[in-house]
Amino acid sequence: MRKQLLYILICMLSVSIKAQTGFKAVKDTVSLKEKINHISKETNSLESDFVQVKTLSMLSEKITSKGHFCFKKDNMLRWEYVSPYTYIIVINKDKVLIKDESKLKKYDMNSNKIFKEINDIMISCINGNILSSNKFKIAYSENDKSYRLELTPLVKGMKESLKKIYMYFDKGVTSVIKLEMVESTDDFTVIDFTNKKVNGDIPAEKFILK
Amino acid sequence: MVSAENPILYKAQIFLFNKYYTGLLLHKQTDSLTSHLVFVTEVGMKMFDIEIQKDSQKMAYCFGPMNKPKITNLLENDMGAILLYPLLNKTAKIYINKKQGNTLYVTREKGKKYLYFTQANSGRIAKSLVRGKLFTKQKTVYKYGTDNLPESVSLKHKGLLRLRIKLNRIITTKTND
Repeated sequence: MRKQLLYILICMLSVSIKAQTGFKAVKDTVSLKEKINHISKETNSLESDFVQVKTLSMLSEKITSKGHFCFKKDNMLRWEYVSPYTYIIVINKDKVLIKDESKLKKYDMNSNKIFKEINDIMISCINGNILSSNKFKIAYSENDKSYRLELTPLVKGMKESLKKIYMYFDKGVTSVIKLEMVESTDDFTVIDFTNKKVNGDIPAEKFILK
Repeated sequence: MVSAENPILYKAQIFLFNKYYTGLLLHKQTDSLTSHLVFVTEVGMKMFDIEIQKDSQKMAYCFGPMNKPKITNLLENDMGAILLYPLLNKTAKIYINKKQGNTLYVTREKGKKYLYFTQANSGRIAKSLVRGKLFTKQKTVYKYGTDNLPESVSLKHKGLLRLRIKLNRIITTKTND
């Protein structure tokens, strides 16, 4: 469960396009990093619909889930699946809440090393520190439609199960548009973000589960 | 009937010792002799993949922290039990209850007694029990809708290795592109 959260939070701020080709190395990485840092600083809230497609390579099977996510600075996140069934994960500062049907589970972020790490990753994504993180090796590339950040996990525990994370930004570097996570088994998960709303008003109730 | 074209998807809740996992359980036939049971969490992380053949179940993949022999054996056996594999290719004693209109199949293996109760006036298995010498080790209950595949399955494994599995079938349209 905690490992899942780690995935979610990485996903939230990432992007992917499996089929995109023709990427070449970015020449001016300093400028791209500055742009990413800038949008991170300027984004106080973010919400979006998402479609998540899990591809089980060996079985040639895809599992599709849909939902909505909300984020609000400093440390509030709601990741809500509506299809194929309802499942909600909320992070509200130092609390992690999970609602599965009528069951509500609560975890204390600070009492748990893994949750703490998840939280740190999330915050570092928002404030741009992920770009200088020693937990990933990052390669920057681009094609005519998007920038791609290729994150290779360096941390033991993560790199055994996760081979790569690809984050895609639109060419204007206004937001993350897709995420792809490639597992060690070559299964992969693609999350497409649509209907994004940046710096809209998100009520505090969204980050409370009862 | 499970096949490559018609995989079955369940919402799964798995209580393993003091841990609780939820996600999707996919059962898919990959060739005439082999099927796979794959458990994927809501956020898309694969937790395990059990390859099931005529006479055996083996863990093809298990997520790191769960990948311990006691856990993988437990999952292999109990997932096989859900699919009624201990009953396949075995000779069973058959008891017919004419009054209730159901049948009981009983097999024995490695000191354990396996009991399978059908629904009244139906060949569909409604409940299975695994009994050791002293007490019931495992109970599985199947509930059906309009077809022969269970709408829900509930398994409870008692003893030192505690495991509970709840499955609820999800009817989906084809997801492959």
